[in-house]
Amino acid sequence: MIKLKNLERSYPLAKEKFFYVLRDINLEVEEGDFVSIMGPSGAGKSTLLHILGMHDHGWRGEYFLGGTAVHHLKPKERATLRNEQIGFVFQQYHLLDDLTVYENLDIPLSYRHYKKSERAAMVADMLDRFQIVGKKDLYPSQLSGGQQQLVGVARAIIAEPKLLLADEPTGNLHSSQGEEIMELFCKLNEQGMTIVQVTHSEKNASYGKRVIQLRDGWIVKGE
Amino acid sequence: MIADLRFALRVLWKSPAFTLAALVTLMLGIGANVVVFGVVNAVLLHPLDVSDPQNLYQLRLGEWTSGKLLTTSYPAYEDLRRRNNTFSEMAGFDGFAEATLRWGNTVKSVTGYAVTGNYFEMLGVQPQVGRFIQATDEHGPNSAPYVVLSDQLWRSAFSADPGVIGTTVRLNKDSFTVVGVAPARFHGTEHFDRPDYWVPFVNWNQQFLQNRTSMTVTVLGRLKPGVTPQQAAENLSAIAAQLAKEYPQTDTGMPLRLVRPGLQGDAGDVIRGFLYSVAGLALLVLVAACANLASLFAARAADRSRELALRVALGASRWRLVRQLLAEAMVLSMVGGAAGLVIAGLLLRALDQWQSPYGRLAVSVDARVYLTSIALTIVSALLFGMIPARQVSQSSPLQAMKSGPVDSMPLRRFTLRDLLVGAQIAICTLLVTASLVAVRGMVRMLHAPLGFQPQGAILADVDLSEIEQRGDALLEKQKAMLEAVKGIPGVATAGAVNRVPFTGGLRGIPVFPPGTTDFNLNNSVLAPYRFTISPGYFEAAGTRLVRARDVSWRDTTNTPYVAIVNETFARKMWGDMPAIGQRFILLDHLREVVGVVEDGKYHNMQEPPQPVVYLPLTQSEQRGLVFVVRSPRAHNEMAPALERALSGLEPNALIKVQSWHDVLGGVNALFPARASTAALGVMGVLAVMLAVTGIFGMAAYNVSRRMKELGIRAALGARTKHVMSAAVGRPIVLLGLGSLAGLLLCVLASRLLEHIVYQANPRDPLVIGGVVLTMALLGIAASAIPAVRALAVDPSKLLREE
Ligand SMILES: Nc1ncnc2c1ncn2[C@@H]1O[C@H](COP(=O)(O)OP(=O)(O)OP(=O)(O)O)[C@@H](O)[C@H]1O
Ligand SMILES: [Mg+2]
Repeated sequence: MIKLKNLERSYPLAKEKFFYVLRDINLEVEEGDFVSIMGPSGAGKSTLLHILGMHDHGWRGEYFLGGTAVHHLKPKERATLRNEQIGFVFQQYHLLDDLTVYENLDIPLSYRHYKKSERAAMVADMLDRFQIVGKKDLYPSQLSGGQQQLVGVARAIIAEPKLLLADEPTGNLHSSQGEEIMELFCKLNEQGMTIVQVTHSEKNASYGKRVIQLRDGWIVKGE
Repeated sequence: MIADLRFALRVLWKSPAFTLAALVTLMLGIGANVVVFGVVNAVLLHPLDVSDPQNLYQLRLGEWTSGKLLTTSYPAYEDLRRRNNTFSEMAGFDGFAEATLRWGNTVKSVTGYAVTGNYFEMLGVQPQVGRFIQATDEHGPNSAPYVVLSDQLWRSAFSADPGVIGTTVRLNKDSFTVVGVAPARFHGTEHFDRPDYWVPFVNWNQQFLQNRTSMTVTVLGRLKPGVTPQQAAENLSAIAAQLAKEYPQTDTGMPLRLVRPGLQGDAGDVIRGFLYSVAGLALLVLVAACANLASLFAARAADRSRELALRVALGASRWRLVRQLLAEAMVLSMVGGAAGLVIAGLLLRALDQWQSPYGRLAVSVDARVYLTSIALTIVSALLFGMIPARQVSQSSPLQAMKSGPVDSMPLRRFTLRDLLVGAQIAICTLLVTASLVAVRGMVRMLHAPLGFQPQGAILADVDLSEIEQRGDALLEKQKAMLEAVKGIPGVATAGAVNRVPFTGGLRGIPVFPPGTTDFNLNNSVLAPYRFTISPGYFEAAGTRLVRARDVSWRDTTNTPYVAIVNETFARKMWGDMPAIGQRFILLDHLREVVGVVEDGKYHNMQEPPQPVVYLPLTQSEQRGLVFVVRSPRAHNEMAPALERALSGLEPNALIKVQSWHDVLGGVNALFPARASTAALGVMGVLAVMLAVTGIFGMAAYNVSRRMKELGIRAALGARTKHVMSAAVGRPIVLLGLGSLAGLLLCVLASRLLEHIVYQANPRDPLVIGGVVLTMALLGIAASAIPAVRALAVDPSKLLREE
């Protein structure tokens, strides 16, 4: 599904000097895998995930997604590919404050080619699956943190991505709420979704099939 | 309070861009209003500089009469004055007296008033030197050879010498003794007139004093206490009817009415309508400016809602918060208003110096203007300060502190701020439409056929009023002059006319059907303007002869009287029948139509098609002539040659050579159109500036506040178009809705526009297209920068900021 070759990411420091966040990353993730990326703060985990999620384009190296050479794609083509294949769960939920739960779920669909009726059905289905039908007209500020993250996950998978990227999806949650989300991930994985998550917790990592350790931009374990 | 002000200053100082934008907005809004008010104040609100102006009225004929100031014949004036029982006093003047003043070595063209002896007494003004003409000076014809000088003429021609009293000056051929000088403030009862002198009617043309058909006297009167204008008008109309019975040959018995003197009779209605409409539009600009500021202030208040809520939580009363917001509005408004007043003062001073075709405007910044600008400033501050203050006083502190967005009501899609921006855009559209309508009107006028070609023609105005010759001798002299002009090398064609169009003084002359014996005005069938022309005039003027022939030197007083008419004359008289060979009686002679020329404009550009008759110089004596000369040679070569040729034949004649183009520019032919285009153009530009800042402010604010949201949207798969619509969609939708509302308003307000622009038509597709294009460009200009910023959003960067 994912293949990274000699991928590196750096930020310019002073003149002519660069600060390397990721160095010489080589990584393969099979379809149906469930990978947990771990490492100390500042190791580059989020950076790697944003590269995978094609939010960040300032890297060098090779990135194949399902056989497509992402590094050869133009920004527009990348956006199309991302919209087709990837869902993203943010660490800070990042729900849109001015929109209701229902509307938040509808956004990704509105950016893809779905008919109005289809969209309504998909949102309804998702609300049902996550048991938040009763909350559909509330605003994010009226939800608890766990509920918000549930909506965040629902929003990430509503457009039926093949690959789910999650940046510390349980970071701000109670452990019971975290477990709920991890169990959901397992279920999604069983249904065939490839998942890459960033996590600090060994427990969460144990839900996955394998662990990759990042340190100072290097993969130190689990290539 | 002081603390509030100090804090307000600090807050404003901290956001200089916002403060500057607000100040400029206010300065423009208030400045524009002060300028317009200054003019309204000077022209409409300033009472005339005479005693008790409130009971002073001017007589007008019952119907709209062309010829501006003319109402009554001199004998009829005397009858009205003697027989009425509603006026305590009545006086008359003729404002169309032109003369050549000679005094020592000075020779000067001057314009003045002929007045009745009681004119100055009735107006209640005092001379600054000497005395005025008095009723007791008059003892029948030629009994009062006295002249009163204006302050301006006294200074320019007599170096303000008080010793000039008692000396004799010549006006044309007649001698007058200078008896006094009027005060500088006094210039008669017309706002735009600046007469150089006043002479008594009794010493004017004697013929005219007995002529009941020469209606050149403008009558002023003071109502008796307790008499209403209505009663007085009925009284006068009854007298007019009586006169018509007594003098059925001459008096028409047309009813009379009263108007306020000062604005050229009925032109006052037009001028008043114009100025009040422009004032209305200026107020709209200010309202738009306030809407603009209110939305900016509301946005800031929303941003600060957390801070403000915290203050409430810490014990501040709501009233204190409101007071603080109002203090900010007040400080801004005061500074902006002061800047506006300074700019307006400069503009008004420039206007004061400006010589409008109606005369000097004499605007000044007086106490009333200051008071108005202060009032405007305070009202604006309240207008744009109240809205955010209300918002703050209504919001709940807990909600505001808990989370970012202030409310989550169903109406959130259409906020007060949207409404403000929309209203502002609607007003802007209205003003842009108005200015485009004005520009269209102007263009249409510039392209309207004049009926002559001023380009490349030179006019030589020759006054032969001092020449002794009469009749054939005079004609021979004029013919010789024309031949001399034609003889100048380089002259292609030349002709002469008594006066060129657009130089005023035109009056309808009654036309009677052949066989008429009773020359009562009621029997006349048409009242065309009359011009007297030499052969070759049409060719020189560039007026197209549609049918048959020009006048000829062979038409003389011994041959049948002939006339050339324009197409309107022919159509009104004879419809589709051929005009050539038709006859009519005009100025005591039966005349036969020998030619038809194209229509043109004669008095002003707005006039409907006018009937015009041209009489040959050979059959209609004329002392003053304007030679029209067409030559490929440059003006500065031709002008001296012309002057030399003409003065060579008649050294005493007063000759003025000018290009026709300059003559047209100097008269008020295009002035109304120019004035309205200028006024509306300025309003339009102000409105566009306000709309751009309004939309820009909203879009920029939207984008900067929603950078993170846009980042999330981009990360969730939003494409360019989605980001764009999220970022600037709302301002653009508001622009569309506002423009639509503005256009509708415009159609509804077309009556208002008609006061400003002749035949205003906001439904003109070109205007609507122009408005749509302007608003679209404006939308693009205002939202381009925020949109680009929105597109450059980088989700990976934004999302990690928290
Ligand atoms: N725009 C940037 N400019 C410079 N350095 C950056 C930029 N963005 C990230 N970095 C640096 O890259 C490094 C990796 O950041 P990243 O967010 O990937 O860490 P992380 O492993 O996700 O840490 P955490 O567990 O705290 O979330 C950090 O040292 C950070 O300072
Ligand atoms: Mg991170």
